Amino acid sequence: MNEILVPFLVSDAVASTPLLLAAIGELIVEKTGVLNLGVEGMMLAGAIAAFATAHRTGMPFLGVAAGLGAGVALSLLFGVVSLTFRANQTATGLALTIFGRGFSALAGAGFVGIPAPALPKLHVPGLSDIPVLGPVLFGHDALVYLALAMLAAVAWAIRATHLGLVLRAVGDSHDAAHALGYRVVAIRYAAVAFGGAMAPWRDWPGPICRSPTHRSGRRT
Amino acid sequence: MFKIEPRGHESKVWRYASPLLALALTGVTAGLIFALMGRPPLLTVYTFLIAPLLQQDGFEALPVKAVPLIMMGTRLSLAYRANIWNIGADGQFIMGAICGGGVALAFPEAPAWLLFPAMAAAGAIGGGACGGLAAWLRIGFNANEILTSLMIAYISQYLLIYLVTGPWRDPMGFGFPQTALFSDNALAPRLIADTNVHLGIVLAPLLALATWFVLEKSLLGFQFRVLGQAPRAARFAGFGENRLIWIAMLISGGTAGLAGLLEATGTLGQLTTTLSPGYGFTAIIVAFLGRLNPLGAVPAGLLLALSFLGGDAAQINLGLSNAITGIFQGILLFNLLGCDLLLLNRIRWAARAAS
Amino acid sequence: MTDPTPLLAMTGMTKHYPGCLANDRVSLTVERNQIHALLGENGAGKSTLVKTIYGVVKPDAGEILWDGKPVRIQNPGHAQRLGIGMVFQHFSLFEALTVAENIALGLAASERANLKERITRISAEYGLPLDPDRVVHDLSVGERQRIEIVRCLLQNPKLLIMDEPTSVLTPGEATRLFETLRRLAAEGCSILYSSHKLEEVRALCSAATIMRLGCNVATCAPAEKSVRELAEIMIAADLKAPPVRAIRETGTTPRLIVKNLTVPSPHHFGTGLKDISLTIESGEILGVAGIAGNGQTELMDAISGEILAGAPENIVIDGVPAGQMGPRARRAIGGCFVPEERNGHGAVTAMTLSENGFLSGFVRRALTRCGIVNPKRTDVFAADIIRRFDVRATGPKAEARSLSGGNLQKFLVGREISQHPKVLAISQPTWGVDAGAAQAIHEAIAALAVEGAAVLIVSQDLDEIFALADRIAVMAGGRVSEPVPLREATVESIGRLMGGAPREQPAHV
Repeated sequence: MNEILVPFLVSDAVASTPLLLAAIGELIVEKTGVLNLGVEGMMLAGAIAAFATAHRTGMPFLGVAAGLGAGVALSLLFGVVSLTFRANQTATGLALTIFGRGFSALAGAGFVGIPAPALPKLHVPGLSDIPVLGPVLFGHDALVYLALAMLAAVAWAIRATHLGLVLRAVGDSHDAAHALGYRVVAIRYAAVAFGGAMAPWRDWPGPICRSPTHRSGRRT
Repeated sequence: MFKIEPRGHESKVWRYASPLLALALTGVTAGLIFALMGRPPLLTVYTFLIAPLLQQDGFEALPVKAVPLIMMGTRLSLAYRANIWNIGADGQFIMGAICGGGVALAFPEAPAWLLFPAMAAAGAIGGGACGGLAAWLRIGFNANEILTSLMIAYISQYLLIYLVTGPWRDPMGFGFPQTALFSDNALAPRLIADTNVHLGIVLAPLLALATWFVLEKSLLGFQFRVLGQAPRAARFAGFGENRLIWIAMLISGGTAGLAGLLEATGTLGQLTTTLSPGYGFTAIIVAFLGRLNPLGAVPAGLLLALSFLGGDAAQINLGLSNAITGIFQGILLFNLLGCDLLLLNRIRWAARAAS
Repeated sequence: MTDPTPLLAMTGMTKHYPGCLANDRVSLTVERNQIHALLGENGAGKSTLVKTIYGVVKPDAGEILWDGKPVRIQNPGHAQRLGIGMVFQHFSLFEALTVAENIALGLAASERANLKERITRISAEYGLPLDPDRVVHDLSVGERQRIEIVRCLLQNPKLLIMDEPTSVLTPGEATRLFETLRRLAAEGCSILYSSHKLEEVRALCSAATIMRLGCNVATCAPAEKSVRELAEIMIAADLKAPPVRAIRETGTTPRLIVKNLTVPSPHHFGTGLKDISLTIESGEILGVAGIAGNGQTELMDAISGEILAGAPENIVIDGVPAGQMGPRARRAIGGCFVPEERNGHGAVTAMTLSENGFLSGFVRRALTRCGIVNPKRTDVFAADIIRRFDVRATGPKAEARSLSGGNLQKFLVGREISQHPKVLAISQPTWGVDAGAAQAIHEAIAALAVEGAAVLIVSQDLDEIFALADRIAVMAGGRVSEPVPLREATVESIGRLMGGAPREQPAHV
């Protein structure tokens, strides 16, 4: 299902970049047999952390780091409650989403309408100047290309590497993986943290911090 | 190292202490967040939890707000006890409002005795159909009801936005995303004239009581409980799983639809894009806070309704966004789930050498 | 080839589990190029011993000499490095992955080069046809086992352990497996072959270590012994002569008729039922002996209605064709059932005894009115069972999980018997139950038959079968043998059928 959705989302490169990244992250999480419904929460909370940091410091890359940190921290919180404490995954993910929505709305209230410092645009000499195709294919900010590269890399890694095989195996049969000596919980933690790192790119680094009451892209 | 040790049985003490501990932890965490935001924590907690009740209409607003939460929470408790995860109550809530509201908009002149019951039926059918669709997908195609019910919730949300900004938009509404006001005949019957105290205030606790009775005292409820605890034993007893999934999804969906209709006709009087501030999701917290006991949904629903009012109060009095409600609710659910570890386990400080 | 040091020599192997001594000073010696049988009933301690060799179980005492050198095997990885491979009875495979991917997951990084090519080569070489790109989901049980074998062979083992390998195979697949094993042994890989099937051990193995109740009781060359002699060593010694008891007069009304019942198993490692026919008269107890995993669970589920039969006539309860009825309808016409597994199947452990009594008793004891549970009648029903069957519990409100296994079993058997069934099907009535409780359960079952019910007992315990049954049949490979009257049955004849003696018709799947 994810494999069909992902290329579809690529169609609108800029708007869908955050969704694409979050989808890649959640795809890895689901491959290991965990359902984290908190993706939206991590997207929103991470994005606002990134935005606020970038805005305060004026350094977009510091914002990127803050967003990453927030996403991973929230995903680990999910991991502790659902993997270590073995609470219901659905409800735990939902808690994360409800929290993230509230957090981003609260923290983001002061930033509505303020442009964020943007990441540098990638200008490819020659190619970006081609009429029509140039602006569509080239000249987006670096994140767009990063997302596409990640998509290719993750698709390849899942299919062709041993790490990808282990991820799929853990999701396929918890017991069989355990019997072969794989540390199932640790692998799931790692996948959840990866999902957290990939989530917080919503609305960032877009030109305007939109009101985060929109809901889209939960099911990625 | 902390070590998690199974108790081997469910702790009676923690059954009741765990939600209280979760509440206390939530208060502390929320206070910390306020402190970080530079607000006096105690004042904020006061504004959030107590001030709304002291307002002029506090004791009227709270139960009205709690009606949809209790109605949905109590029925979700029933489904969750059977291990049937209807996550899409929010969409069923909205669909109920759309279907019932559609009847109101189509027949504004119909007499009250006919119109409101017809709307209520349409609302329950609309919500039930959303739930039934998820049940059908689970039984017929083995599709996980968590995901399908959630996706259906998004479809409902967008359908509502489409309708109130498009075909159903009030031509006199200055372009606001809302429908025309319902006719008086279409409004939920009031218990006290000129207030929002509507039928739902009586209906919600009765529904909780009835659901509790069904779950704890009837053969049907017994079947739900066995299915949730031991599916193989349910087969041994001859309790058909598919039939139980249908019933759980239809009645939890139908109730959510009815709740949505009551919200639209009881407090709003029209359909707007902001019909549900996530009531259907909050109802899941209500179910968990109420220990998945249909009666527990009543106090839990009141508490979470208070969190909505508190958010509004914080916005007005402290200039904080009412999004604070979501933070409070998210932390509460997290703490609840975390504290439930103590139900079946105890935590020991284990010296490394001991292993 | 002529190295006289045994490949593996174990002495004094001892392993305690809480409440049971799984291995008691067991010794085992496997020579080079040898196919060595480890023979014994289920529960004799074979699995514990082979898991010790593979590093899964840590022994409490004992010495292992590998290639003449003492070793302490830490974990399966260590065992693999020493050259020990193991094929488990229940495989650890990933359904959604391909054969090659499954094999890769069990190998170290250095062993994964050119994997597909090596799989194809090895599988061709040893007659284990396997396509590395097929997804496991689509494979038969026999093909799945080949995956495990090929995974072991890729590591060039010196010793290959096979735990009950043929319990999941068709006879044709088993024959092909034997050819492969003989080739492996000839090429220098010793095989430790754990089984309870006497015929195949005689045909395949050059030496046998026989275990019973955690001890090894004999070491012999199986080809030099008859099946009967082996069976006696394996099971007879712990069997007393059947207690002499009066042969009951049974009625002539057939209460339970099973006719040409064929159903596939819904479980992954299950055994489907193949053309089962049997009739039980009123007042009669039919005992079905057999080693676990030969279709007993499926037979019980088919009789209780948890698995539906193909046609109504396949199962007739008290004159009513019930093959297509669910469990509730079957109870209504007089069927009562006690499944083998108590926790989560026969009983809901987190519920009270009262609720557990209601679980299967509400139909025949009319414990509901207009869909509402009648709490008084339900409590009285549970209290009656507790009193009549001497269940040690605080009362009807005690949770099922607070009871010991024996007491819960008494409650569950009592629950069904108290419903005055016309047909009672009961699996492992005294499994894990102390002697006193077992006696009480046996008496209750016999009393029920005297009242005129037809009783089907499925049990692995031959003592129990001989103590209770009027006629005895044996279940093996999803089939039930023709029942013989108690006075004609001997431990040898039954044991032989249990041990998987060849049947007339070769099974094709």
